[in-house]
Amino acid sequence: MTLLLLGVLAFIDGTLCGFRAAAGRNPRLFLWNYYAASMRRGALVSVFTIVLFLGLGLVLRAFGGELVWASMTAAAAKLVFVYGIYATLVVAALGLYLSSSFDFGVLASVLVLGPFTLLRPVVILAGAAWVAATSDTLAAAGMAVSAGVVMANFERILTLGRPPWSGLEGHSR
Amino acid sequence: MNADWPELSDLLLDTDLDTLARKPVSRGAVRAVLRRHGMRTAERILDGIPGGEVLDAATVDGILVRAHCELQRLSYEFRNGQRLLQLLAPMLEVLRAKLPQRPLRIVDIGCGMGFVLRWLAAYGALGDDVELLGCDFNPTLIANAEKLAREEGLRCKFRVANAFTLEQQAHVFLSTGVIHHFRGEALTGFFRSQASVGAAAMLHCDIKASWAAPLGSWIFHQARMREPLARHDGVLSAVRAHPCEVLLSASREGGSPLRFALFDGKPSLLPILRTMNTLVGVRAEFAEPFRERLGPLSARLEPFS
Ligand SMILES: C[S@@+](CC[C@H](N)C(=O)[O-])C[C@H]1O[C@@H](n2cnc3c(N)ncnc32)[C@H](O)[C@@H]1O
Repeated sequence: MTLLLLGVLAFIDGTLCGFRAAAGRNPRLFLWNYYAASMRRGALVSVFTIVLFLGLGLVLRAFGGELVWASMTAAAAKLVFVYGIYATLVVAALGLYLSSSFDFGVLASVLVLGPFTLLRPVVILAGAAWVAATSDTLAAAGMAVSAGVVMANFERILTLGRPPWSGLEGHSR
Repeated sequence: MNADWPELSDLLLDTDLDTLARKPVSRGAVRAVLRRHGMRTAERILDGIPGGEVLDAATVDGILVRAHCELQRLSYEFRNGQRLLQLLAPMLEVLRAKLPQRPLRIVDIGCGMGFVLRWLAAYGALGDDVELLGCDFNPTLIANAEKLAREEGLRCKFRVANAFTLEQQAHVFLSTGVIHHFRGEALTGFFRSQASVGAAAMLHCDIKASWAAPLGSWIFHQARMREPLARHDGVLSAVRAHPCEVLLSASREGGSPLRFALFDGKPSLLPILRTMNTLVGVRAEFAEPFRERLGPLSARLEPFS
């Protein structure tokens, strides 16, 4: 259950990273398909990342036994706690932004969506560092830190090898 | 940062305001201005712009276009189209009832890549008797605005024009994020040029000056923008935002005979609740009808004078 929850959090985060990777890079108005494509890419890469870390965990379990697996699931539970609080606030604010009146929408943005985007890498890395510092095994600490580093850089990973801008005239880069 | 610092975008582009021809910009001259103000971050951004002593126009255009693209994302998030529409729609109802001329022309001054006008054309449902025209003195931004409107089949036009020598007649002049670019006599002149071509109304929306504005702007520009110039000028814009009294006195001086009032101008305990305000100007005879059409929103509009 813990691992499933952590996977769901990574999936949601990856999909939102897909949105942000595309946002502000195309000046057209009707961007539904454009954003959908980028969010799909975020979702796919996050699934790939989840599978990769799950595989790595299973390999470590094969070598280290049940004790290592237990410490890794305990670390995952702590990550779910930290990232879960963050994600709940962001998803609630996003819901408010998308569904509510003009004023509440802007408020959701000002109070949560903007500041929390800025805090995201800090929350991810601090959460991972705390979990690593309080883990029983090196395997669990290593998994927490490496997952944190990958997720903190996820938006950057998504834009690798892609032309960053589209629909612009008279700009050279 | 302080309100006397110039925005880097205003230094990188030097336009002859009479002919609208672009003048070459020397890196050394820009650096000298930045040094004089102690603008070290801006100096670093200048150093990062590739090219020689005379700044390459295409490179500068590229930066400005990308910065406006990112700005559009923020405008979307802050719902600037809707923000203006909530005032523009009742204003048009009043003008329709009181003025015989058609079409009613709306001119967006300093429209950049025309986000607000394109949004109004796409979602505003303003009616077939309304004409939307965007003006900016930067031809590259106007070329982008035209291209984007054409590609998405939007009913709005764009022209290269200087805000201070407007030849376009308009019933309503509007702007977003522009008035903090002008200070002192230039600010008064901005309103004068619109009043002198017979404007019936003005709606000028900009960041609301408050203690929280620079911090909020910094957070959003760090979180949402990548272009260093956009990040720098975005925060500086909030520092340079005009206090209500300045906006009102300059508009009343330059924009006469129109009457002016601020929408969302009241100082609030929590400035994050109202991040932008709009200076509303109307002919005296339209002031009360406009307030009536505004309905419950009129509580946020101060008295016209
Ligand atoms: C911060 S941008 C705002 C652009 C647009 N209104 C928006 O909200 O995205 C300010 C714009 O004002 C334009 N501008 C500045 N001085 C001007 C002038 N004297 N005449 C016409 N446009 C001007 C600039 O070229 C720039 O596009």
